[in-house]
Amino acid sequence: MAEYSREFSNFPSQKITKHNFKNVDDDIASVINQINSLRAQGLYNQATRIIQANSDVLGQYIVDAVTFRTWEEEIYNTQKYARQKQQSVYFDESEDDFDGIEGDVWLGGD
Amino acid sequence: MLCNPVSCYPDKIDEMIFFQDNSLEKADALNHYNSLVSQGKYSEAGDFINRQEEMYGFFADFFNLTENRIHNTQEYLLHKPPKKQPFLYYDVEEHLPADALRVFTDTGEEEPLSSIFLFSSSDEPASLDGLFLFTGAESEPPNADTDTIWI
Repeated sequence: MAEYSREFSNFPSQKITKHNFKNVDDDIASVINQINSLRAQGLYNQATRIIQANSDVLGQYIVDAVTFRTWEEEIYNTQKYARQKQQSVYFDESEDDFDGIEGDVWLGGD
Repeated sequence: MLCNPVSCYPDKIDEMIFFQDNSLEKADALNHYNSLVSQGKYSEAGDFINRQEEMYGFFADFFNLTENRIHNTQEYLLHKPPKKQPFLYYDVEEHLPADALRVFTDTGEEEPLSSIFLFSSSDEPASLDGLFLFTGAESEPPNADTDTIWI
């Protein structure tokens, strides 16, 4: 069985880190307005630099590709762990058809 | 509230959200929200949207709901016991202790077991403690449960 994916997720060594997301509020308005203004002018690199410079505070306000990739990887690793944790009994005539992993049970053969 | 971000798993299965585009009935509310955002009135926009029912969108509640469900599922799995070794090799014939033995005379009267004596090859009386009666049937392993595969 393939190993866990480790680009964004550390499960099962560590559970998902929750962001506790917030909708944009007046506390962060000035930074958001600055970013939106730069984007509207096509100044994407400058907007990115603003985001990077404020990543600690913006983390709760912004959902980006990394967020979705992290969720996808957390779910992937969780499914993989769950399958390994659950003991399954397989009824297959041929061992070649047996799709179990260590600790599972195969009942079959001649 | 747009949706409840709290996950109840594993006490119960979290209800599906059925995330979808907003219906035209919600157009006025959504337009008002977008208008507040475009004016930079973020807190007011947030308060407004949080009061709406059946409104869908990329709001904090929905994202927190997703992370909370992943977190609770992971937590639940990490507390599951490890896999068991289900196979048990056990080859013992079923047997009973000697005191389960009942002896009757030819007139049908039960003889007390204390009246029976075993003798060793040297004609010394032997104890009944080591005497067992074998039934001929296979004995079930004492530590087997419903998940055990007994070979």
